[in-house]
Amino acid sequence: MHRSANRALALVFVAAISAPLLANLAGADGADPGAENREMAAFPSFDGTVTSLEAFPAGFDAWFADHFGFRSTLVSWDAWLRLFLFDTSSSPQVIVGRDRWLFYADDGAGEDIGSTAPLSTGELRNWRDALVRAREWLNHQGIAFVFTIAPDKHAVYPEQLPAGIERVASVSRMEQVLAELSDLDFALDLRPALSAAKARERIYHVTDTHWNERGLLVAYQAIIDAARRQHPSVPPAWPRSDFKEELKTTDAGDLGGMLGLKRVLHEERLLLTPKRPRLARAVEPRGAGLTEELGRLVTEIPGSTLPRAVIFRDSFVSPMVPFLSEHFSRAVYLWQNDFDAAVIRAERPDVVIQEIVGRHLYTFVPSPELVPR
Amino acid sequence: MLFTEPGFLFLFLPVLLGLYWTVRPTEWRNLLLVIASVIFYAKGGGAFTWLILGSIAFNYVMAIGVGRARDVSESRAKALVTVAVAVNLAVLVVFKYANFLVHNVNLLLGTFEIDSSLGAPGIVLPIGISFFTFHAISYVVDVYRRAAVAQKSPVHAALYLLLFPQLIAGPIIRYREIADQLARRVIDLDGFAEGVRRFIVGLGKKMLIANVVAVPADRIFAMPPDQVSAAHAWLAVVCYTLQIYFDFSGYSDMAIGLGRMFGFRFPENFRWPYIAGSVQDFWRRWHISLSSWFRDYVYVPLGGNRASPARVYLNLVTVFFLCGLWHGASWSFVVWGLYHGMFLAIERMARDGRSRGAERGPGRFGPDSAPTRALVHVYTLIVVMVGWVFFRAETLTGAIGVLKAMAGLSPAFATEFAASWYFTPDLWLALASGIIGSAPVVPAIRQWLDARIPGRSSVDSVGSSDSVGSGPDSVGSRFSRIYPTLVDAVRVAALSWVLAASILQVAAGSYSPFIYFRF
Repeated sequence: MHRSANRALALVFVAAISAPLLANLAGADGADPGAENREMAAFPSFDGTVTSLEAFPAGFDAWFADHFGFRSTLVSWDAWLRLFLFDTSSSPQVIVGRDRWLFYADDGAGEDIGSTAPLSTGELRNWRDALVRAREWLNHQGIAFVFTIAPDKHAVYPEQLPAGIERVASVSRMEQVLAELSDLDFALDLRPALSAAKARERIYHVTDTHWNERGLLVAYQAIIDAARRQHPSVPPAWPRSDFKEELKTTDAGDLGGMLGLKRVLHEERLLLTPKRPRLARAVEPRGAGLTEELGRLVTEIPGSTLPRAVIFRDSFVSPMVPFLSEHFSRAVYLWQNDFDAAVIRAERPDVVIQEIVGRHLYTFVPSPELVPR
Repeated sequence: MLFTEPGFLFLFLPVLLGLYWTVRPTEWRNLLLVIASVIFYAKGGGAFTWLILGSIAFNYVMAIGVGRARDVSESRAKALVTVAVAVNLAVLVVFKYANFLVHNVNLLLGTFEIDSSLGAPGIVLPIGISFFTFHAISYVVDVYRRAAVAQKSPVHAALYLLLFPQLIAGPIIRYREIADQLARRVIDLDGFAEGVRRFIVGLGKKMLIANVVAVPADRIFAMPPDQVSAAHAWLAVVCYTLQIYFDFSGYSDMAIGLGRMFGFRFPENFRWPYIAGSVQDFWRRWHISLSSWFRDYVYVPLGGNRASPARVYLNLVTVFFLCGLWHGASWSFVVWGLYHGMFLAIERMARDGRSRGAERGPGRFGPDSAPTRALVHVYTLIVVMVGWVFFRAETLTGAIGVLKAMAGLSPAFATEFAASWYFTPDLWLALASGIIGSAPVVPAIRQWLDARIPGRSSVDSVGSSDSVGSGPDSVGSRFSRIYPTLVDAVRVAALSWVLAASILQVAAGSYSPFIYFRF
């Protein structure tokens, strides 16, 4: 190439590889912890020891890989190009479906989408045993028990999945477990209620793994109804008419964030504001937001004589907490799928609710022996 | 550290280039490169850096000793070089093969029902040790053979053994190829730009082709073999065939380009291997620095081509057994090596047979006819691709499973992701670029264009050429005046685009989100 072309190319190259470092030196930080949902690598410490010297290069490299200039911009450009040019996901954890609906492929979801490994008869029996034991133990103490499985988005909207994914077995684990428990009154199958709602409107998010406000309202109502059947002093579920509806466009949900497009994609949310004031407050941790993802969250309605509840849950119950807490004078939310007899003994609730998301049937095995005889 | 990491591309390299251009004398630059190379190794190698530094000191001293002994006593020199080679190999064997050896000794004793109490040493493999060991051995042996003079300067010796572009993944550079350049090299804009061009091509090969075709290959090779259908298997093998070529040759391109940026000229490592017409030809085009190392330091000492035919076949198989083993401490690598050795021996037998047999006229199916040429290329590709199955599969049973699937003999039980699932637009692009890029298409186009543009001289000339034989104002002559600029503009634009797209991928590769907050 001629001199001028060489000069141009050299300039382009040096500019490109220097830009991130110069941005860092100018004070920019390429990390976006809000989008990645993790602690970004910290700057490595050097205390003069040989060990810290040996560890320094790797530690510094890890820091730089998380914080180099323009990082979050480049990540979102790559994700945007892949999504809008190729209709593909830039993350192995996210699947792009029809109409750019996003689906989760990790944490058991990948296997669940393909129904790759149904539960054996023994495993189903284990599920039944664990739940029946829990029911009997709670019944013995006069405590109501509701068990439910929150369906994954891919279970409710399989038609939005992309072509090329095939179901290996004819039943999913959720279908198996719900069939196994169908004769038990405490096992709540949310599918009929969700199906009916789905026929009217969209009940799951597009860029998030979870049900949206319309879907979670239906599920909340079904859960409260099931609790009332066993414990009538639980107040009735608030109907949709008890809420003011407002549509709002917000940043993308968790899946959009995993692609690095949190502020590029949008989600249309239905905000439901209750017409009467909500009374429940977080007491543990004091002042916490009710929808925060916490290991242990306790809400109380001061001076109330309503029943008490212990709720074993995961993220599908998170947006539901403000709704559920209005029905209980004290509600203890534990982020776990395991049954915890010690907490129940300590709390002495009137109602125990156990919720698990469908894909966790691939990663969670219940332990009947956790329930005392 | 890898060349495609943000820490290398956006921090190590720009800082090092800045310092390198600021510092003028070659000796200061050499010292800078040595320090930079130590840091480069330390990032990936951690405490093993001490091992490498110790090895450098050892080889530096031994080479000087061998050089001195050479002038005094042949037997003393031979003893010294034997010790040097033995120690280098011993280090390699201990760190790379100890686990493998212990595991297999246990297995062997187990078949005789001897309960061995050999615990697995659990030794961790120091990064780059295979390349480093071969560099060091070639250095002392070349001094012994008087092909090179022992390096007196410890900085130069360290620079040769540690030079970061080739430290971790080659090319394996002989000391005599680089000895002069350690002391004297020219660093100018044109050379730097040449290095940049090469680096960008390598970066693009890795990030835009190899990494894309790796996705189906990785997924499908991880599937249980009885779920792999013929479509899956062929897709995985084609993808892996492209992946390993573009990954490895891309990395070599980056190494050569980086070397050029610092004024070094490294030898080529790949020469369009997938257009080879025989397995022998393939090995003259694939990982050239390794096959020539084995030729010069193992095959020739064993007798080379001068031994009896039977001995030659045995030597070929032996060399490739070792070559397979060098790639990894696993039986599937050994099988891959033996497989290639076997085909080399067979081809040699066929060649020996033909040269002894009657002369065959050209005819329609003579050795140079088009169908024969096409057939030998197809044969070579299939042999190589089947070889890659052994190379890639984690176990021999896995490899056989994939081969069975390729032949349509797998039960192919239902699986979640059909073969069609993998055919995303970016895979199509990568496959097309990869298949086209496996042949010297761009050079051929340039040659074709050059022959047709009137009065053009080579594109790399500094001045423009005068058109000969056409009027000075004709369209043809005007076009031939702007043609070089046009070509340059297209090249700069294309390379800039490849750089930009690759940088996007480098950034995307650093992103690892979670769905719930993790500490």
